[in-house]
Amino acid sequence: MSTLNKTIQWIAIAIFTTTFMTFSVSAQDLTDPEIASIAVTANSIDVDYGKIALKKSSTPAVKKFAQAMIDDHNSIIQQAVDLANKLGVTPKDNAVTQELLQGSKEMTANLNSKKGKAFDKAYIDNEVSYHEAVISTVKNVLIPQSTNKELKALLVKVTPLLDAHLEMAKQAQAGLK
Amino acid sequence: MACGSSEKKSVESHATTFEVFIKDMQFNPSELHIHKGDTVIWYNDGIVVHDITAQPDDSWGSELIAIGEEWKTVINEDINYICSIHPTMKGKIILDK
Repeated sequence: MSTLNKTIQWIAIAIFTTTFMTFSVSAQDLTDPEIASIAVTANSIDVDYGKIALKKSSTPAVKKFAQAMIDDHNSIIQQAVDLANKLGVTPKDNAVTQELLQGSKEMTANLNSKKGKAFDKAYIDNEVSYHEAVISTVKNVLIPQSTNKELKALLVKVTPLLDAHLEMAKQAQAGLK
Repeated sequence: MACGSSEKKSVESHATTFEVFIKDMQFNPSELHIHKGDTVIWYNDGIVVHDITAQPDDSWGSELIAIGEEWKTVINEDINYICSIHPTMKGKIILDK
């Protein structure tokens, strides 16, 4: 199987294993500036979801989770931006970034249309599926395709954090039932 | 009194410092065996802020430990702890008799 076909297969898995598909990744070869853009955008989107949750939720556990997402993803954004500056890389907008932003626009509208327990459920359910999709994309697309060692190392370092976020989201999800 | 001071001094001279490294969303080692009066230092070698919070009642704990920073305390009892920001991170300190 060619590398491209493997990439397509992994991306298909990432897409079809998410119940609430928040984004999909087009099969393509990504450059490091494009990967940096995707990483910053994916983190920014979850910061924005967290900000909505802080405004709309009145459930302490949901607000605490949302604050952790805001703080952690802001920290990663800063480290990604610092690395890009150090390497002289300007994050480059691309089709994947645009797909992320389009998915975010739709999810933001969905979240803003809900309130109370329905909001909590929609937010946490999306956090589970969003992190599942991001983890799959980071592990199977962004890390393998990044060529700069420091960028690859940062993506590798972020993976345990994303895994922990997914576990925290699943625990929050169980707590809402 | 002199005897008490001597005992205290003796305890201090035998106290040991242990290290726990916070990395990859884990406490390493996650289980530590020490003696009463020993010091434990947690180093945040991770990529986000963490804390140390005693379980099950949050009765004891650190301030936020920034990236690259550390926090230490003297341990006088068995402790189960978590990072309250990331409760999936768990650690345990056991006092050997």
